[in-house]
Amino acid sequence: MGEVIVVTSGKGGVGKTTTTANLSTALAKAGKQVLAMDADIGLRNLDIIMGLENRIVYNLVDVVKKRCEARKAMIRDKRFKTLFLLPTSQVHDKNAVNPEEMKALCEELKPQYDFILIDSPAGIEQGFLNAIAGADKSLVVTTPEVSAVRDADRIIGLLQHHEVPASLIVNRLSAKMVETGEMMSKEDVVDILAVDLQGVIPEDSEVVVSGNQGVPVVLNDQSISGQAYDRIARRLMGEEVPIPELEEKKGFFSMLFGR
Amino acid sequence: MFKIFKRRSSAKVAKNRLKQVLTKDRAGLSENDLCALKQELYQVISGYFTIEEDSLVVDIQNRNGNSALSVNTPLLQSPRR
Repeated sequence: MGEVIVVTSGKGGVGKTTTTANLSTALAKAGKQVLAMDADIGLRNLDIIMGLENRIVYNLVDVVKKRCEARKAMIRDKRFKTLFLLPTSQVHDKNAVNPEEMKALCEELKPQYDFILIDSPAGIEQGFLNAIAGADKSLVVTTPEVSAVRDADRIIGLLQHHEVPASLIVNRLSAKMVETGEMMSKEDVVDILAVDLQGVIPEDSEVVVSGNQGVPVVLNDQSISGQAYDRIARRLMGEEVPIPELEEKKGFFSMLFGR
Repeated sequence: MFKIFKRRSSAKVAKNRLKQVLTKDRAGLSENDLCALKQELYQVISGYFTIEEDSLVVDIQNRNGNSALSVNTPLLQSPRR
């Protein structure tokens, strides 16, 4: 029986979709049966980050409204045969489905997968409530910036209210800026938000490149963000993986001259 | 005489600001409710002391990690009873 994990944040643009795509891919790479579900109705993005945007026929709304069977809407990943995407609709809005329907869908699909990862929309309205309705637990993504942390706090409060356990992912951490005191550290963020830390992802330009190409960055084992996603996936599978102290990504010349 | 300036790190500033603002956010009291609370407190307190409504400060603060309601006002004169 699978675990349903919602990836949420409150604030937009902090890395929910990237996180959902990469954790789904990493778990499938490890041999798990994984469904990545895009719950951001009207603003679909999980498909394009995973490079599957040309394969969509049916979507989440079709499935919920019983216009087609769930498995007809699933898109098998190009690279991993145990990874599936349930894309969302680009033409409806967040009110097209309700939390009860989402909960029922998750219950129906749970037995078929080891993990179902749900990409939540930003905000606290119906879209968020839909995304969390069927979840067993949540990963709250934040960056170490004031507005993201503030919104994450609100989201954590709502998750607690809905009895969805939450743990934190701090994304886009710059070791250099933390060192000079110009960015909050992961300890600062955890201290403020008071939830368990699931993982830390360093700032990495490779994320942009991977989005451009539709190849999740976790498949680039040279990338520091890919390695971080890999560690988080291993933790989700129950492995004890310590969170390393992040080093600044070394530029070509500093590597050449051994700094 | 050396005066060594340590620029206060912006991360520390951010952390302090967040702690204060989140204390207020978490209290869940809207600005309207806070205003209503202030007016009611003014009524109650002015039954015991002479005070000025504009000088009454009612605020939710973070004190050493705990939320606290802070009420503060200059006392002009105790009414003779």
